[in-house]
Amino acid sequence: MSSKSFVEIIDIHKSYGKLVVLEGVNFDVRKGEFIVILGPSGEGKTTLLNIIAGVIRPDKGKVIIDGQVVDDSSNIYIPPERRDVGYVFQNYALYPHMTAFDNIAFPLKMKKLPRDEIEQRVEKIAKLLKIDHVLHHKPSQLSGGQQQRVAVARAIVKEPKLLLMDEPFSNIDPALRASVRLELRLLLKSLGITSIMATHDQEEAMTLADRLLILRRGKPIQIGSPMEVYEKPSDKFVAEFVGGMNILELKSEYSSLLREYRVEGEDVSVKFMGFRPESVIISNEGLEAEVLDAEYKGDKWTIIAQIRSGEIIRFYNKDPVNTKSTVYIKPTKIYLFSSEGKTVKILTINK
Amino acid sequence: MASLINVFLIVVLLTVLVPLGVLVMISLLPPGEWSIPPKSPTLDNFVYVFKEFRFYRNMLNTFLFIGLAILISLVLALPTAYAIARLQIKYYVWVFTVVLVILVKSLPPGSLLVPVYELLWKLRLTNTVLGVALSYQVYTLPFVIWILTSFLLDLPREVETAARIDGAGRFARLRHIIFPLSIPGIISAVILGFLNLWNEYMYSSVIVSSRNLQTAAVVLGQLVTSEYVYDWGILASANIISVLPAIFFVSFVQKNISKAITGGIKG
Repeated sequence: MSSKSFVEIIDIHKSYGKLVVLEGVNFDVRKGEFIVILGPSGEGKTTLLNIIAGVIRPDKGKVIIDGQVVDDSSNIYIPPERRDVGYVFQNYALYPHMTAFDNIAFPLKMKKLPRDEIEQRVEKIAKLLKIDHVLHHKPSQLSGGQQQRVAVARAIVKEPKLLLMDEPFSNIDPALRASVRLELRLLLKSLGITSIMATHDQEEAMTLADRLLILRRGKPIQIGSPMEVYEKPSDKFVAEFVGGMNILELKSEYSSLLREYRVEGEDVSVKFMGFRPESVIISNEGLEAEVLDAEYKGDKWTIIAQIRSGEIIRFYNKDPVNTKSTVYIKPTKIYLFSSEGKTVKILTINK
Repeated sequence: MASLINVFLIVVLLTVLVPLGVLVMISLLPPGEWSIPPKSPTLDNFVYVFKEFRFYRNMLNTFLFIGLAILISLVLALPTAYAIARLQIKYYVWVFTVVLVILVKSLPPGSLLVPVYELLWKLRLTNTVLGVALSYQVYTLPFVIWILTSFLLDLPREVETAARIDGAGRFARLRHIIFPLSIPGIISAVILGFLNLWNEYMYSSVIVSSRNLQTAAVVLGQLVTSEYVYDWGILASANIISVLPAIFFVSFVQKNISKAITGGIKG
């Protein structure tokens, strides 16, 4: 780990009885960085956040925040109330009996700050998040978006060392999500808050993250910037999960196609082939496919087609294609995966 | 079918209304008159019960004892219920609840009278407000714990986790989060406590001997075996006065009672 890392998560293991939730999670976060933990629902993201917050203790491993070991899974354990982290819960977990103001003020009150300073700070953060007009409302009187802002305000008002967020956008109207996301990212960047967010939404993860941590079945399978993860997925799962890659099991009928990439069965471990929807061009030779449907996407069309082996693929095209017509497609970039799903080779052809 | 239910309800209503009506009429009888309805109704009996008899003192005693008893119960029950509700192994909670319910329902409160009296006597607490309130714990404590536990079980854990992360220690969480959120449960406990204990006779009659500290129920009981046994008007008006707070209480907080009961069933 670099000396610059602000948060270090070292070899975290956690299981409940026979159910293994986390298995050797390692990563580090630099100061001011925005890390997104991306993975399918129910595969350990929330548990990992709770371990970092101190709500749950790991079976094995270490958590270091700002140079201080806060949990070494044996003797050292700093409880959440003394870790100085902020947490935005999926359902926000606002205090139902307090007004928005009192909700946001609560962490400051616990720090025993003077009343006028609390008022100043709450009003400042409320203005930043545009909730200063609803401060005297109870959570039940607020809209979902306002509740989320109150939850964010409560989490960052004490200027925590680290902000944790668990699916903070999942209860927000999809139409508003993109703008709320952007605002939050800009706010956190301007305040310089180090953040770790968990989500199952790959689009959300791609737009927000400085770096992504892909978690699957409790194991980190790739860490990197959104671009690295997208361009160089470490395995078949990441390729499919981030950006939706078409994955085909390799059969002899593709050998003519693969010959162009100069892959001629040289690598026996190669079992799967994949390509992104946007790297496909329609040509007069290549993979034969029957068009099933075309969806209009504004600037492009998504073509859904079935190849001869029966598998369904999707790709983008500038123009619509008649359904039931037969097209020949050629990916400009293909990914080859081993039988275990690991990425073996990434090949491009210029066309 | 509906008319049959109506008939049934009317019969039930009459079994309550007729005795109550007769009681009201008796209370209006002047001394020496025995006719129903009274020929020359008077409120003298009520005036006597209040002025001469100073029955309000006994009613205040009842309020005081029950109030203090419930306060003690709440102070003890809130942390207890919190511990039960947040215990790691949920299985225990259910076993505990079931055992508690069976115990409360099957153990007659009178069976604890002698040991409780002996304990209070040793502590020199007989004939004191605190003594009666402590003896009432036999009734109030188990069911206040029960009601509060069921409320706390419904409380989302994440709210508490949020408070921890916001820097609230154990006591601050209890004070700022758990306590305010269990106020509906506390109100239920207070209401049911008052209704349960309003007519309590056994403990208050044994633990208190001084006339000044006797409860309304005890005084009413003694009336039957005293010189007033021939003065029905006074007996009846004292009874009516003692019923009034309960009627007022019930009609005022009816909604909360049903909530308390359904809350209790859930737990």
